[in-house]
Amino acid sequence: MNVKKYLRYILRTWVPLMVAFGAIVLSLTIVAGFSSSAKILIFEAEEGSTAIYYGRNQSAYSSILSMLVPSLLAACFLPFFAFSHRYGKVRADCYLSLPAKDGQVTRVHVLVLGVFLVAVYLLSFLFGSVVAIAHQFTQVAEAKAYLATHPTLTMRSELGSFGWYFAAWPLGALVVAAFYFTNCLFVSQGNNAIQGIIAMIAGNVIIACLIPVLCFTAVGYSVNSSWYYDFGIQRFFLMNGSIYLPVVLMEGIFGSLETNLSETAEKVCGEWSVWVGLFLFFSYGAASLVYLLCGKELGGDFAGSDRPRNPLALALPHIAFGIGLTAMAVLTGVESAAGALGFLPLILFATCLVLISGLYYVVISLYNRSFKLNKAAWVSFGSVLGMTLLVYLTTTAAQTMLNP
Amino acid sequence: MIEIKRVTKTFGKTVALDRLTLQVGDGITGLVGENGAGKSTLLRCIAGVLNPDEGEILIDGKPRKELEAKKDIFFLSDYPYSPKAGTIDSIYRFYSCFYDFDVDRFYGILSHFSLPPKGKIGDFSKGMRRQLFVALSLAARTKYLLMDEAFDGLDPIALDAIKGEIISEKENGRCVLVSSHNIATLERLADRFVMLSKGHLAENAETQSLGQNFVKYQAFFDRNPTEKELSSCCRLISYRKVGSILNFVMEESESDLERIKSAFHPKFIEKVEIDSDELIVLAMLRARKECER
Repeated sequence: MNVKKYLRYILRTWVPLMVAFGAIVLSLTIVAGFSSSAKILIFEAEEGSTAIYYGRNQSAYSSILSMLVPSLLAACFLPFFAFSHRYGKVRADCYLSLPAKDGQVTRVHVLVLGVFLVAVYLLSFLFGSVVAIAHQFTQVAEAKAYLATHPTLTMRSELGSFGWYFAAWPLGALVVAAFYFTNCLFVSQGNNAIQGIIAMIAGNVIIACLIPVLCFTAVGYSVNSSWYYDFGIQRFFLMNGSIYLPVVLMEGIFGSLETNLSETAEKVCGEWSVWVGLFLFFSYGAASLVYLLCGKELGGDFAGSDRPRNPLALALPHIAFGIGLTAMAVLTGVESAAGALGFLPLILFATCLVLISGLYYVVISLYNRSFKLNKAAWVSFGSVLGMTLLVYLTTTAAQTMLNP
Repeated sequence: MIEIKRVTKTFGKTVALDRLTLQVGDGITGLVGENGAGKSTLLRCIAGVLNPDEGEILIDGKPRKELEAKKDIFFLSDYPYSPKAGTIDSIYRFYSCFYDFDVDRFYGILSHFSLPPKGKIGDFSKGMRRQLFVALSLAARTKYLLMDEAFDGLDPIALDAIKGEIISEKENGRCVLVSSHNIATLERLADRFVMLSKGHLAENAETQSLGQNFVKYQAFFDRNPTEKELSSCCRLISYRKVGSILNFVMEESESDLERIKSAFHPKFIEKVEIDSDELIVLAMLRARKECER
């Protein structure tokens, strides 16, 4: 396979669609940003110049993060394009017979979409960061005027900070990109398109969570070094990429919470972990369903050789997510001084995880007209329940130690 | 040479290929069999679209999965894929990312057909799409060419043009494995026939040697024997009544003929010539009966 030639072909074929898609995402982001700015202005007008410090910052965070929504949706939607060449018997006949190494075509698709997504994210968050700075670090009421003054704010800081600011963004983007591509390319080596799609979705979600923190850290450090400590950024950074940001994202979307940062963080250990688990496993179920619907012909056969020959391989993503969620929940539990991890939310958490992780197997059984769940399904359920129990025991122990 | 060694492929409870062992050498090989015999499955296994459950496939001694082996194969499926907005040029550019092509040959073959050069493939008819992809497959510089339902949808003029091109592939030393239900065309092209029946290899013989021992009779009886009665006297291959005349084909045997005469006393019975393309169909019928036994 001539990779350069194929890349040129892909770009030529996909560019119009990607540009249109990117324009929609950026437009939605800008609209979300301006509407959030309007909310903040209203909040400031009501509270006056003595606005509650954390409340104002909370609104700023949520406004920035609500601008994540279009990019997050793009993150969940685009991976299906990366694997679209596996949908259906006709496409599989074409692509699987081509003289290319295993997974090579998939990797090229992942590369192109990944670069595109990272570019869209960076542009969205550049805009978001400007809005954040305009609201965070000025005393002037009209936020829009400060969108233009952002470079001036940067120039006023120390040379070292200035250098760090410009270095941090590409460094951060490199770290995220390395994680993303390693994650997706590693999974795409296998012949299971579902695992590849969900790896991409997970990778994209992580990017969506990590990039704004890296931006905030760099910008905040360069403009006002004490800002880093004042906002508890250490806790924010530690919990980021796991549970905290989706929490604030939810807040930004529904505009419900007006509590301060620490109270919000305390909520993390409890009910909101359910949302993260649900989101990740729902993505897996959705990816599986789409692939099953598009990948299986009416004749009842999977496209190409994508019918997994070793069902146990399907359980691995569930186990991996279970381990990841456990680690994140443990970190959060340890960090939070007064975690609210109760028994009831945990039962709900476990039930939702079991239901959603079983979704794929149920659909497979329906298609095969056989309602026997195989061993892999039971391994998956068992692993999820086991992980949940481990989370409960660990965080309870951590809380006991922190609050004797 | 393509070597297929005890390849088995199942889809759920359906056994599409059952311990199939076969060698495909140079020249043009016709792959025939009734619907569901496993022809497309075999081609897909060779092309790398499907992985056999058991057995192995070697291309010039190399495992089929190796990249070096895949480079030597061009697979033209029964429904070739093309993006809806694709054009002739874009399809060529896509495939040229993976294969080396003889550009002049590609456009030379296309000149036989009246395809709109800038037209969208999505607007092409089934036959037009087939013309395009057959031209593409013939222009690819690969040692092996696998064609599934190669002549499906082609008009007689296009078919005639393609026949000539396929024959020249043989002269260039290329190995072509063609699956088709168009027996008449295939019979004129193929040097050899491989017949599958219910996933088994039923026949693998040169075209000229197919049906050499078949004999067709036309007979008139006072009371026509039933197919079952006739089968008890000979190795019956086909049985057909046209009015009161009975046409049947059997494996040649003087003793069987005498047994039929003494059992049923035909008023007249005469040998009739078998058409060459009819021979292939009869060979398939015999292969199916052998498998059923």
